[in-house]
Amino acid sequence: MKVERTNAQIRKGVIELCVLSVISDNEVYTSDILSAMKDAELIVVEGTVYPLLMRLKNDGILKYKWEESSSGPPRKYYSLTEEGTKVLEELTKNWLNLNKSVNKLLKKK
Amino acid sequence: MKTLKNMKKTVNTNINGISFIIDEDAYIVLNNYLSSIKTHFEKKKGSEEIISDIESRIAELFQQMLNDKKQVLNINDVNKVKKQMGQPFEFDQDMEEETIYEAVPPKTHKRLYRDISDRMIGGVCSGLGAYFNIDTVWIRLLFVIVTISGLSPLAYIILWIIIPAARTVSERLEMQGDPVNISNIEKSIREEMNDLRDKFDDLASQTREKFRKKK
Repeated sequence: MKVERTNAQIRKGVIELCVLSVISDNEVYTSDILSAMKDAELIVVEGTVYPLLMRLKNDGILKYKWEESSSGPPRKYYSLTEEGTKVLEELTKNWLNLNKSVNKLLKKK
Repeated sequence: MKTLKNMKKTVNTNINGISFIIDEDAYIVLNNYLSSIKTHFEKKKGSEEIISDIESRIAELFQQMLNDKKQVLNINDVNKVKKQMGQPFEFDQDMEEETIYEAVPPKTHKRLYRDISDRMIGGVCSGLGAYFNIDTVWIRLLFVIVTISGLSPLAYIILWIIIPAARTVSERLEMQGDPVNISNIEKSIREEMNDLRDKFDDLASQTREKFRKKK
């Protein structure tokens, strides 16, 4: 139980970084974000991603546009705003540093 | 009325602009799930949009399940989608830990009914089986032994009289045990409180009425 809680806390910030990274590649459809995150085993249930996308959009980090689809109703395609690109850079830098420090520390033992 | 085994009532429903044919029991489960999501996001910024995004994802998953040979959504499809999307209490990233980890796993809210769709006499044994989650055969056997060993079949008859039959779809779901989630519990408590308040109001007005008459 305690391990799970800590794991969830570690994952929390990382999920945001990864969602931004998936979106930075291109304009992406929500399902593509979901499957990328699931393949990487970063999320278990899909429902978690929706409030996150909404928060990032409200913070001006993400934007989306509607595109027609041949197989159903129009789809939302997400991309990063200018600010979003900066946030992603910052987060990536931070992650790499953190990763380095943690690994260094863990190796010492 | 006995329903045929392969015949089921279906409902036509529209999810995010796409129309689906869905079994009635599956529809009830889906409807409960969607309203629990709605209650969960009710007071949040952009809730309408989150809900409609989730609905459109659900519609997309349903579409992938259907083809020429399979045209009707059943309860398994709905449960599969529910599992993939997750329960509302699992949705929030920024929520306090207690709510994530101390959220009790869905409890089973059950009621005792007679299962008249699977009956030998009055459906008492099958109803008891569903309630206690035991194979009906064992309960039937028990009743047979009790009856043969000299006791009268009175016990069965009494149970037959006092246990109601599960006639509607929602009664059947209750009989099988419908998982209750936090928002459902909240809702039922609220309903209960309202009931209570109504009763008090009634009582108060009745008392007032009596006093007036006395004067």
